[in-house]
Order: sequence, then structure tokens, then C-alpha cells
Amino acid sequence: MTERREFSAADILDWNRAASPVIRVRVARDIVPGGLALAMAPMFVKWGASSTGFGADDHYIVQNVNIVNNPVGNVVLLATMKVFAASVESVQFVAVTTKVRRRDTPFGHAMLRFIFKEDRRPIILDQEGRPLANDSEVSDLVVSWEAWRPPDASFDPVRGLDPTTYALTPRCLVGAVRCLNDTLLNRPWHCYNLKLPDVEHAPDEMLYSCFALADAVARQTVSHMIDQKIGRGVKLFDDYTEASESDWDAIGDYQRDSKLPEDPIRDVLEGKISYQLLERSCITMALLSLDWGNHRIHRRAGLPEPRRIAITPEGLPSFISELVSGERTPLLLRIPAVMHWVMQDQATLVVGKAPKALAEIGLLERRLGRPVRTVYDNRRKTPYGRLMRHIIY
Amino acid sequence: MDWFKRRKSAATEPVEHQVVDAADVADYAEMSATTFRTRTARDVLPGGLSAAMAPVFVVWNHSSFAPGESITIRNLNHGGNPLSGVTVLRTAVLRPDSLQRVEYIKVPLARVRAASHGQLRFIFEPGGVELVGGDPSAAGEPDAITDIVLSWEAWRPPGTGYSIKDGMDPAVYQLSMRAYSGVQRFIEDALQQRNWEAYPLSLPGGRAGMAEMLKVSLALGDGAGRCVMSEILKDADDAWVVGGPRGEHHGDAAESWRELQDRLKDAPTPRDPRLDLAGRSSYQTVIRSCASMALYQIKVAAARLVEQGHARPGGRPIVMPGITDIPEWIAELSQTNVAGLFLRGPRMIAFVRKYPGAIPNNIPKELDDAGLLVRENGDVVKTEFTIGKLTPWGPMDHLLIR
Repeated sequence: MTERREFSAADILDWNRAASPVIRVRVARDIVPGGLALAMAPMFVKWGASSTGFGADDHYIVQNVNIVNNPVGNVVLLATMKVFAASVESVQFVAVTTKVRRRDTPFGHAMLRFIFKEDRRPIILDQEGRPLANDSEVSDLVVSWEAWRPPDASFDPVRGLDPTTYALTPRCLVGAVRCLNDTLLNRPWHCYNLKLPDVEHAPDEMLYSCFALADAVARQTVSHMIDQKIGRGVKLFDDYTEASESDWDAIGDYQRDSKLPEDPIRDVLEGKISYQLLERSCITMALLSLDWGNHRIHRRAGLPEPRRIAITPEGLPSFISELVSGERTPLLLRIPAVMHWVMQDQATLVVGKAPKALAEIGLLERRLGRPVRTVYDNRRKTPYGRLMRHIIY
Repeated sequence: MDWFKRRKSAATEPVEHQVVDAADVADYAEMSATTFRTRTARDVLPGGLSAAMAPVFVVWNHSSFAPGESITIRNLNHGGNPLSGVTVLRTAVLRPDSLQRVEYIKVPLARVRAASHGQLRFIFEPGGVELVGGDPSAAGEPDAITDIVLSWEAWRPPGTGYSIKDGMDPAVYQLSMRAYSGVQRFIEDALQQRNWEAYPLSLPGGRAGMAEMLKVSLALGDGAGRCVMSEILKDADDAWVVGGPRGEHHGDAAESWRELQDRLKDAPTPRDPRLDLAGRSSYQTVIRSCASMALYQIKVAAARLVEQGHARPGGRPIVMPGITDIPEWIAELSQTNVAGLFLRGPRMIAFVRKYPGAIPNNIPKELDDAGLLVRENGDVVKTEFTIGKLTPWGPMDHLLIR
């Protein structure tokens, strides 16, 4: 087993309090209390240092954005970014599919990609809060909802049915960083441009909604994790120095007390903050973000109530959760019912079907009657240009 | 499938080039900046050669080749993202005495498996490579790497594809020995679906041999780089430089470039003529290719070690490959048509039979025949690394968040 290094409560508190932390993470080694991978830490918005609204100077300060990642080098750099509130050129729903023996499948991952106007790009900040010296701007950001787990624990979809298995982490990454990772895993990007109502700041509102939802979930996840997983009195390693209870309480309180811009997010989530393959997966959370954002855009512009995205029905059938803990025979008996349920609700499980849910309510751009889709089979072309133009030797 | 129909070679794509700022380069050369960030497809040096392909340079006034000392190098490619087209050139301090292993890396090309690239990988103990400054790390620890790759390449402008046929003419490409961190080079190869075949070298003198191998490589790479840079900067013309997209506030750009050219001369001239690449700093597909230059540097290092009194590997003589004379008929291949290629075919076959090292795929056998590869139980030790399974830094499952 790879050697682990757990960051102390004091470290985490320091990062949370710092104006503009930059954290270098060893992916396979660094963990937070409870054993989860530090590299998968959720994004936070520092609302106190941000200014909401869509004026020229309004911006969000976003922490834990993955700005550098050489997947082979096993290093991730989580930095702080200044993102202008009125800056989004377009929004994409990105389906990242998995290949089996070089053939694309409809299964995989979903995330949202925000592409920024050339003169309003997000800025990477150094520790003093100044733009980085070289190339501090990025052209796009990806928000991705994932199952937070320990380093080198791969995602298990069956275990993911049990909401107690994984925590939910909304990660924010520079687009090219995420794309590099997916490219090395040979996972194509299928990008769908969103068609938002033709009102001022509609894409900006979508960014705000996505950040607000992600931040709220991140704070609840961390607070919950701290309450549940502090492991007060539990000695994980021989050389583990137990943090004082006041340290942990301070972190939990800090996360809980940070002023959020609005609270309906909590209602949306109904207090459910763990990952669940069907109810709170990458796909459902991406769709939920879009649904909530679309609703806000309509409400602000005084438009009629929009059609809502058909996500998962409230409450899952009991056989779904029983599937996780079932013995082999009961499990086999439940499979037909599960298959029937999944076929009815494919959009939540099959990333290739998720765009249909968006298309049905008119949220996707169309050409000749069909949703516009750009496929980046990243070994050849990328959203950033042809690979062979960027690699030279 | 559409992609195949629409595909154009990189050479035909319009690329708006921009000459890198002489002032920035001067800062970098004077060590007041330790990192140089370039746009791979855009940034060029005067004369048009790619800035991202800049060769490794030894910072002679911060380096010593004596045992136990360290060598500071510029232009170590580490930290860029190949997808977004950013190449980050770093400054690093190398400690040759900390070398654990040297490997010849054969990189079979994805589409033409008969062809391959050759490069050398130097693996250090922790602390053997230290990156200097230019890094925004805060919490956590400094960026650390434990291996570097030195690779001879055909230096050319961005957007110009490499052509085996064009490379037959030594006037087309220049030689650049580029330095990469291992992880950087590996992902760039992986993105092109190129695997690594690693052959550990068995050099005379053990660890001393590895240190000598590194020093010989750096001396050769630095020398070739300075020769090429001196040539291109000699022709740096102010109108040409200032006429680029840079503003007037950069002043007398040509003068700045000339100062840099003078600084390039601050390097010792090698006493060993085998290390002096003056007049031999152009690329040639057969005689001075990536693989033949790697073979040459390994054999020069081995020969020097034997001359220093270390035992000859396997007792076999070291035959030095020629990198100086390029037969005229080989250079003419760049201009010839299909008929011309066929006519020269028998001569080429005879040449390759006489000099098998001219074919990159034959290099491991050449090295083995010279007793320069590690063997175990009678077999040459070879490890294949792929992005999908095993990388030189462990199984991919352990490295990636999937």
C-alpha cells in the first residue's frame, strides 16, 4: 500500500482561512481526515471575498481549482482563481464516455464546461492574491461532481448505489487539465452546447447557480465529514498526532458559518450530500445544476416557469439500495426489477442518454432538428486545437 | 472517419509565429528568471526555429563537471500541458553522482512500427534533480522529479511536420538535444500512443560510468545547441525582429540578440574532439538522427571510460559510429522522386548492412553487441511501459484518479 500523509486539522483550517491558497498534492499519498484523497477536494467559493451580481467588477474567488496535473507525475496543484461574474461565453454539457476495446460506449461521466470570453477569462492567483506571473488566464473551467474516495480506490458503481460508501465532491478543474486526464485514459469528450434563454447574463447566471450549488454541497460534505469522520479518539496510524477537538470544531464551524448567497440549495438537496449512483451521481448533479440554473434565469427575467429536467424520481425503490448488501441469490432475483427501473430512468445512469433529457426541454442547441454535438476523440483533436500542433518533436 | 478526409499535415496549417522577447530571453539567460513559458505552436527564435524545442544548455558558471559537484542546466521541459500548447522550460541542478541507472529508451512510432525514436533516460536518487524557483507551490512540498530524458531532435519551426525524406538533406533541420522530465516526455509520447521500451545500460565503471554518460551527453547537447544558436543569431536582423508582432518599446531587439549571442560563447571548448560538434550540428535522418546521436553519445562515453582505465565491457572493442561525413548520394535522397529512391535502393541496403546503427530499431542490438546493455539470465533486460498498464512510476491505476 502506498504511504499516506494525512493533513492535520490545523493545515486545513489554515487553507480555509487563507485568502488565496495554492496547495501541491501528491495524488496517491495525500489524504484528509477520514482517508479521502486530498486531490479530490471540492471547490469552495469564498463568498466573503467575492461580489455577486453581474457588474464589470463582480467576481467569485474560487478555491481548490485543479490548475496543473501531470497524471503520470502523480501531482495535482489546487489553486485559487478569480472568476468574473459576467464572463461566460457559452456553457457545455460534456459527456465523457468510456471505451471498451477501442469502441465507444454510452457509459461514462458527465460534467459542465464553462467557456469564457477572451477578455474576461478567469485568473489564477498566487498566494498573495495577485495574478500568476506567466499565463495566469485560463480559457475554460470544468465543474465535475464525483464520488470522493481514498487515493487509488477506483470507482465501484455497485458500491456507489449505497449512499454511505462515497462522499460527494464537486471538483473544479481547468478544462485542459481535465482533458489531459481523460485523453490519457482514452475517454472521448462529447460536447453539447446549451441553448439558454435569450436574456442578458443567462450563461453567467448558469455559472453562478453551478458554483453556488457546488459550494453548498462542498460545505455540507466537509461539515458532515468532519462530524462523522473526525475519528475522535481513533488512532489511524502509530505516528498520527491526534488533533484537538477544538481544532476540528473550528473547521466544522468555519465551513458551516460561511455566509452562503442563498439557501434554496439546501432545499434542493434535502440534506442529502453523499454520492449515490442514481440520485446524486455526476450525471444527476450536472443535470440538477442546469435545471436549477435554468429556473433562476427564467425567474430573474420574468419568463414563464420553464419545463423541468426529468432527473430521478424522489426516493429510490428499496430494491436498489438492497442490491448493495444483498447476498448472491437475492441479488440475482432483484436484477430484473433493477434493469426495468434503469431502463425507465436511463438518463441518470447512461451518460449517452443524458443529453436527451436536456434536448426534451429545449436546453440544447440544434441544427437540422438534432442537438449539436462535437466529439473530441482527444488523441486526434482537442477542444484546444489539434494535438499535433501542440506537440513538437 | 470525417477526420481522415479533412486531415491536413501540420506543415500546411497556418501558424502565426511570434518571436520571443529578447529581454525575456536575456532575463532567463542571466538567471534572473528561472522558468521560461512558451506557446508551443506560436513562439519562435529569430530565424524561425521553435522556442519550445530549445536545446539543453549548461550554465557553465554555476556548474562543475568534477566528481561530487553539480551541473545546472536550462531548458528542462517540465510542467506544461501539451493539450493547451504550453511548454514550460525550467532550470534544474543535476547531481551526476546521484545517478542510479541510465536507460536507452526506444519509442516505436504508433503508425509506423518499423520506425522508432531513441532517447536516453537518467534516473537519479531522490534529491538528484532539483528544480530551481519559478514555481507557485505553497502548502505541500516542492515539485520533485527523479529522472530526466535527453532526446536529439530535428529542430524546426512550429507547425512544420517532420519528414524523414526532407531530413536526408542536412541543410533542412538543425540538431537540438532537448531535456525533459521523464513524466513530461512520457505523457507527450502517451498522447501519441507511443510506448517506451527501456533498456538499462551497462557502462564501464558502474556509477562513475553513469556520471560520465550524463556529462558527455550534456557536453554534446550544449555544444550543438550553442553552435546552432550562434549561427541563427548571427543573422538576427533588427528589422526582422522588430517587424514582428512585438511593440517598439522593446528597443533594439537585434542588439539584445547579439548580446545573447556573445553570451553563448561563454562556454569551454571541449578538449576531446569527439565532444566537439562544431560543423556537425545539423540533423540528418541517417547519420545524425535521434537514435544515431544517442548511440554515438553512449559509445563516446564508453570509450572515454575505457580510456580512463575502466574495464572494457565484455572485452569487446567499441566501434565509434561516424556522424561527420554524409555521403552525397544520401543527402540527394531529399530531392529525389520515387524512381530516384528505387535507383538508390541497393546502395542504401548495402549502407545499412555496413552501418546497422543507422536504423533506429537496430540500436538495442548494436548496444548489446558492444556489451553495453544489462543482461539477466542470458537475456537482455527490457521493460515495456505503456500509459494503460505500467508506467515507469508505477501502475497507472495507482497514479490516476479515475
